[in-house]
Amino acid sequence: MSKVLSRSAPTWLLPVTTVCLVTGFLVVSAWNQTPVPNAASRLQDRLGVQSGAPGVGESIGEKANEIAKLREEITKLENAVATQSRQANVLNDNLQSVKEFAGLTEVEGPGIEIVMKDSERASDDDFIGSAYVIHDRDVINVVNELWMSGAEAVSVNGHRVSVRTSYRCEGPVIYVGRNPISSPVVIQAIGSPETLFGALTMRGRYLDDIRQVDPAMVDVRKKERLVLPAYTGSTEVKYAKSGKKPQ
Amino acid sequence: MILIPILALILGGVLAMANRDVAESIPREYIGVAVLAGVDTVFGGIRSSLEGRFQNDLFLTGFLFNTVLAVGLVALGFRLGIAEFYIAAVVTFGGRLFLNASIIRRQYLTRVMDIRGQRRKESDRQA
Repeated sequence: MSKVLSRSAPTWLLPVTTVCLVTGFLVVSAWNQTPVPNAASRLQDRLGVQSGAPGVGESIGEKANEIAKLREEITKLENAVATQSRQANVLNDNLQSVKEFAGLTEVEGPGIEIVMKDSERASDDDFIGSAYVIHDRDVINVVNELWMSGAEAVSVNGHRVSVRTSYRCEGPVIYVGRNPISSPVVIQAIGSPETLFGALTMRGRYLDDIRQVDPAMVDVRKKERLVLPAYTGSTEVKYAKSGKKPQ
Repeated sequence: MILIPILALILGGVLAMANRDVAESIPREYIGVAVLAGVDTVFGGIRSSLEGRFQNDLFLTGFLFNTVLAVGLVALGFRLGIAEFYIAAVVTFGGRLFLNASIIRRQYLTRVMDIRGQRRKESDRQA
């Protein structure tokens, strides 16, 4: 074979060498390509919800703490002003009860705690598998049933629910307002523990539906004392104006 | 003599390492099929030289044409919205690669067998 090759060497040498040069270049280029990160880790990077590295979630948490502190200070100042005159005192009492209603103050009292978590069972079928996971609609419905049953204050994973709170699904996380949360979802509500417990665990109600899929997904407990933090989201009102000016 | 193409292969790799910006600017989607086309041509060349049917022009045009066609298929796939279009090229080149590899192996095996058989004959004659 070497005899055949050496005889034809001058002719084959150039094209083969050229092709080898190009192929070598291509192979090493392909080798050096930065690997594609898998979809899940890219999603986590985007949402900044992974543990460890400081991400968006962490900075949101810092800002929320700052807001909570500042609002507490406002309350103190309002109380200080109120001590100066009787009118101011009456006004401030009114203001504080409105703030309490709106969820702008920390509140404590008896109530119930609902823990919802993803089932340990799983299904390859996307449609069925979806039933084993806690979704944004589960949070929406449970919070709605709590209001329906006379709850006075509600928080989801430590985020106070206000009139502006929205719930949305973003891949593997649920956003409560601007705060990303994931399973297990802990919903705390202040109100009559007996009434709330009875209403939420009643047959045919929403939690019953989830229990039918997997009883381990839902846990409801009465609590003697709960402390719900103040709402830390935006309270800006830009477009809405009061219709009737008070006389 | 056979060393020169091998050296060229290594040189190509070194060039790619040296010009990483150029190497990385080639879109990921294209480089895969281009590599396959290149490796396919090299295997085809080895096979035809073993069979004594090696032709210069066929080899070089085959390399250019296959690479351009493969990359073109990928580009067309992207334009048509069929991102999986490149699989046609991958399957074809991959299949041929294995075929050529098996033929090369068979060629070498028969050669070794022939040499052994001749040696045995010679030793028989001596005995």
